Amino acid sequence: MSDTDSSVIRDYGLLNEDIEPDHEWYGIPRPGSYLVAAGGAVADKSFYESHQVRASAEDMLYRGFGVEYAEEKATIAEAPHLKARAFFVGGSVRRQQVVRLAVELDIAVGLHVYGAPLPEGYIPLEITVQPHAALEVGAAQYPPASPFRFEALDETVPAYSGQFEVAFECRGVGEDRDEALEIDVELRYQACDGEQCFMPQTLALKVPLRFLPHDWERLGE
Amino acid sequence: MDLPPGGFAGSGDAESFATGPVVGSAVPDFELPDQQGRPVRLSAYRGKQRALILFYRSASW
Repeated sequence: MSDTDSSVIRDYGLLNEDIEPDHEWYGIPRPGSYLVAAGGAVADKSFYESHQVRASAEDMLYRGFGVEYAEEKATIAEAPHLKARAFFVGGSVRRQQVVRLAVELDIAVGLHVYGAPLPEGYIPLEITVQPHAALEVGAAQYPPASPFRFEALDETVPAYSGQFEVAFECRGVGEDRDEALEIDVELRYQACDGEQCFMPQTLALKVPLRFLPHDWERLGE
Repeated sequence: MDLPPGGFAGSGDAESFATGPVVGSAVPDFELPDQQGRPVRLSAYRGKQRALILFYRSASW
């Protein structure tokens, strides 16, 4: 829809006031989106300070509506005690576009891994993304952990079991390019059951991502 | 599978710049023309389904 006089932009409080009033772009909003529940309330939102940054359509559909992503572009690995599936939502990124890296974990039945913070001696689940020149990676977003009670030790610690997802917000940076990338992701964890803990494990994943150029012919300069 | 907390990638309720209605609050109603010039009112969809409202400089970029 077209908001040529920026009345809705102003009504929402989104006017980009970094643009001077005499500039041709004056009136543009901060870029972003609202997910609105059926009742009309904001269920979620995402905004960026720079007018150049965009979330990908695939990312918004995945986060807002649970649209499933194609299996074939995911990296799947099995380690002792868990399975991991990692993928970039949409499989591609463009310069200044935000894309989500999702790492889905399936912990073996009867086992758990640890969240944070932990007492000394415990090893938490830690997922790291290795630096890449074409990608700016945000902090890992872990879901809330559940309390696990060790009666023998009289300790309650945060833990994960079953299926859950850890996500990273990533942004394409650098120059326009058409390039197939592989992003290195590492999982470090220690799995335990109610009576014993197993040796800590490290799992390395290579997750494919296509860096695509902007369509300047369609967009114009 | 439950999705992680924090919702969308992005700022949410950022402190460094205004991002409009906060999570949980009602969004202002509006009526704007679509690409065919037909008026579209947000409140016409209330109670029926979720909606995604995007604010961008243009539909191209």
